Amino acid sequence: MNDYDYIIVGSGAGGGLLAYRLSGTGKRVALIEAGSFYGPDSFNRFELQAVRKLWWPSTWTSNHERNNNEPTEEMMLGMGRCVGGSTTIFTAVAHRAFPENIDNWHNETGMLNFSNEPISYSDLDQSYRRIETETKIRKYTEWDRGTEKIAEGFKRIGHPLSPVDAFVTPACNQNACLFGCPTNAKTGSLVTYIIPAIYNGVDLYPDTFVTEVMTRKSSTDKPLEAYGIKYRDKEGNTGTMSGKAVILSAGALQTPQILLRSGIREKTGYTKSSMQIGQNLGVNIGSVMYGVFDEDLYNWILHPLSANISEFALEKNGGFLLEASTVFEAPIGFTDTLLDADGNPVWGRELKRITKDYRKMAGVFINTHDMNNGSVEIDDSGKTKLYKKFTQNDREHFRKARDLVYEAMQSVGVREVMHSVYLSHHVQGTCRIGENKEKSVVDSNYEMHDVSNLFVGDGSLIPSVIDANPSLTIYALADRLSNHLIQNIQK
Amino acid sequence: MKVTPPYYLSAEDYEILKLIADIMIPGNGPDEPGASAVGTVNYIDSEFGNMSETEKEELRSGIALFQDYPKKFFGKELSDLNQDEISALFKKMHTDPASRLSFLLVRSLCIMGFYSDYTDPWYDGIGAWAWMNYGGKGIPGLNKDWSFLEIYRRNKNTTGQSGKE
Repeated sequence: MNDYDYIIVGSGAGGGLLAYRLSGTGKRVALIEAGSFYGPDSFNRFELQAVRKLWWPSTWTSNHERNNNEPTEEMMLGMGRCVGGSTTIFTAVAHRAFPENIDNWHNETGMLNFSNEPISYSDLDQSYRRIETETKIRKYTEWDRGTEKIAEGFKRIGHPLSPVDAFVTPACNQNACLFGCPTNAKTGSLVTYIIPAIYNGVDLYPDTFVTEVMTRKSSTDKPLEAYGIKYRDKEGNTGTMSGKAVILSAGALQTPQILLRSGIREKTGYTKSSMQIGQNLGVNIGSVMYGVFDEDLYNWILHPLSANISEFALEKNGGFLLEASTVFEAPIGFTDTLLDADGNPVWGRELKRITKDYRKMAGVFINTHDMNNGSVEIDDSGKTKLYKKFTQNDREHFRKARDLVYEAMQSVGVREVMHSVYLSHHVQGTCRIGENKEKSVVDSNYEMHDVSNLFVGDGSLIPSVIDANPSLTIYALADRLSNHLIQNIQK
Repeated sequence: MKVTPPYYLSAEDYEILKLIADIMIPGNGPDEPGASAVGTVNYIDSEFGNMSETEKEELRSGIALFQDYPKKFFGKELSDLNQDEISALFKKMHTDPASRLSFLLVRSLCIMGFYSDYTDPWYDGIGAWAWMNYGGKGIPGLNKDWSFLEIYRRNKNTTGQSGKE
């Protein structure tokens, strides 16, 4: 294949934006995506099709292996696998990180801004503003019956819900976020950046799985330099692609795996920075709490997470963010993740009893502040292993959050409550950015400490967990990287 | 002429999966469909044909555990367990790290087969969505495409269905 200026691996929030920005300067850009390319005409609201085609198979943690092989809390982690990545199937909540979150990044990894000062919230402000304009972010005020029900409950207990900021235009008239937006109302990476990038001349390679980054000895002060990638296509054919720079934007679960498969640790002599690859996984551990009410709510009709309460999101305020209302938009996701009162998956007559009342349910998504204490690893057999220790602090977050949600639901006559498994799509932190090589994988210019011409541009970068849905911050980080590459590297 | 599954699963695996699906998602007469009525096991059989060799092996291993664990812990076949024993078995399989992922995989396939609204091409009753009153005017433009399933590809001429609805 051709020699590119940039090979971008992954087409989610980071990769799509980078492809658009860099191709706009006349550079030759390849955008590679493991999943397939589906336009809005392909999105047909059918949950089963979305599960099969648009998502990576959900992966469970193996926490028991770090707990003497005894049962412990496990969680299910997932991401999008299609052009547009997770932004094609996310719920489109578009909130900035809290200033306290970003102001902590320098403490965590020594991250600097482009003036070599400690990074702070103001350094992302311009990028946030640009993305908010380009993606047409707005307050989502068209609440459905389920959200109104939950909102009434929280209002009664003195904690009113607010409309979320969303990557959704007023053209949204249905609830299909998790299945791909059939109306183009959701302004994810596909619609906002990738289609325009194709018009800019980007070469899009869907169904192409990057097996490793090709590196060789470097003439710079770094031991290695990247010069391309190896890949496998849909038919199983393998090949190589060369480029002057490689940007990994495959998400916080896939990007570290590409680096691990590339043998960066072995080739660099196991430097401290290379040993950070895949470490520090944070996820905003989540769980949905459902209430069953007397009336029909049909909570699958409009946008799933259109309201929230962020006053408790920071650790010092409680450590949980509440978003409403969701029943997973369709029965498979709801049923597959449903637990009984003892924490076991529901089956049999009890499953049928509950699902018969599906239309009477509304749910609150609880996202928690967690630690960067997980990891993405590859075992000796080549199998992906995820670990994310569930701490006493995590349990306390959920106890407080569930007590509050129950109080709100009870105030509007909930008949029964139940919970989902622990799950998350907010994966972050596995190739952190910073100057401290013992705590980060890439430097403050997004280039790997040990490999020149190899950059990271996705949620892996986030130095410490943020207490909001991370997509807007991933866009903003990628926007800073594009500015840096255009202004400093391309000169 | 109807071409009857299984197409991909062994006869033994097909029968045990059929039993598991019926336990996971029981029915209750024509007004309340369950896995056996709509043909959930046939969905799994066709989907098995779409799986990679690694995925097939994972499912085969999972099915084997549903045969082994009842004998190991109760000295009986799965089909001979009473409701309390099944409850204990499933709890054990979910909490035991050695069987947990297999249990969840088989359960997930049963759920996908039933709650996706799958029904056999020749099935004439109501499916899961109609039973639970999911859907209707709240989901305009819905197009359920079943053409990825061998059972629909093989039987489209007998039912007049193209694999899409």
